[in-house]
Amino acid sequence: MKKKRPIYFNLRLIRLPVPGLVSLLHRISGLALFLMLPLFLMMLQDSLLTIESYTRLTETLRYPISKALLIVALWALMHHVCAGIRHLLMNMHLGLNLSQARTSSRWVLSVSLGLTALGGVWLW
Amino acid sequence: MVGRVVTGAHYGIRDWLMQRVTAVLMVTYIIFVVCFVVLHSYIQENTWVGLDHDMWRWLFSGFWMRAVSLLFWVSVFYHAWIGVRNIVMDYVKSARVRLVIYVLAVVLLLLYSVWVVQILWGHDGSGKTYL
Repeated sequence: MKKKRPIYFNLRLIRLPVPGLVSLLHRISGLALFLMLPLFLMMLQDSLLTIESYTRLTETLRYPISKALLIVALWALMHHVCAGIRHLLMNMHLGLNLSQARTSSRWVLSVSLGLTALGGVWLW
Repeated sequence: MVGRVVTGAHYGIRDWLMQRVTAVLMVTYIIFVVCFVVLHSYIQENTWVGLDHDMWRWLFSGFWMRAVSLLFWVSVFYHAWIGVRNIVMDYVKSARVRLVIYVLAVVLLLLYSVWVVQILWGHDGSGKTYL
């Protein structure tokens, strides 16, 4: 009798575990932050240069699209930092077993989402 | 001699360490700046107005703040380089495409480094600019 089993690596058949999700999002958020670097530098530049550029910046940041972008950036930063702190703790041999790793991944996901929500409410 | 490829893997213990050193530096800096902004923000008629522009500019006018900020941004760029390199190594199989992406990322990050010096030292904290 022939058993039906996947003969190739089919991503859709894999249920990604929570720590895997956190790891994947760590990469995605890091890449997003890298791509947004010029925006961050432009914001720093305009905020420091003159009062006119500062005023222009605050006006630009009032558009809903800018706010949405800032919230995405905030989430990326929060997730990246939280997942990074989890990494550092694990490097110190803290929370290495599976159940602890799952719990800390859930913490990373919820703390970063919570902080983003908090920042989002304040921004909007 | 084993065939070595410039875009291939290398022993990453130094990268591993630098990724963590830069991470701690960046988090410390961000916490400091966020604390400064929160402590120096003012509230008007129960709404959060935020930081005064003069105060923000003042923060970035001292030598040490400029130096620490430069250290922060250099850490960001170094950290970003290691991260981007790791991602590209995992998902881009063609050595040629990898090389192109590496060169682009390095050139971009070096340009950002020059730019950030201009940003940090291009004003004198009083509204005069040296652009």
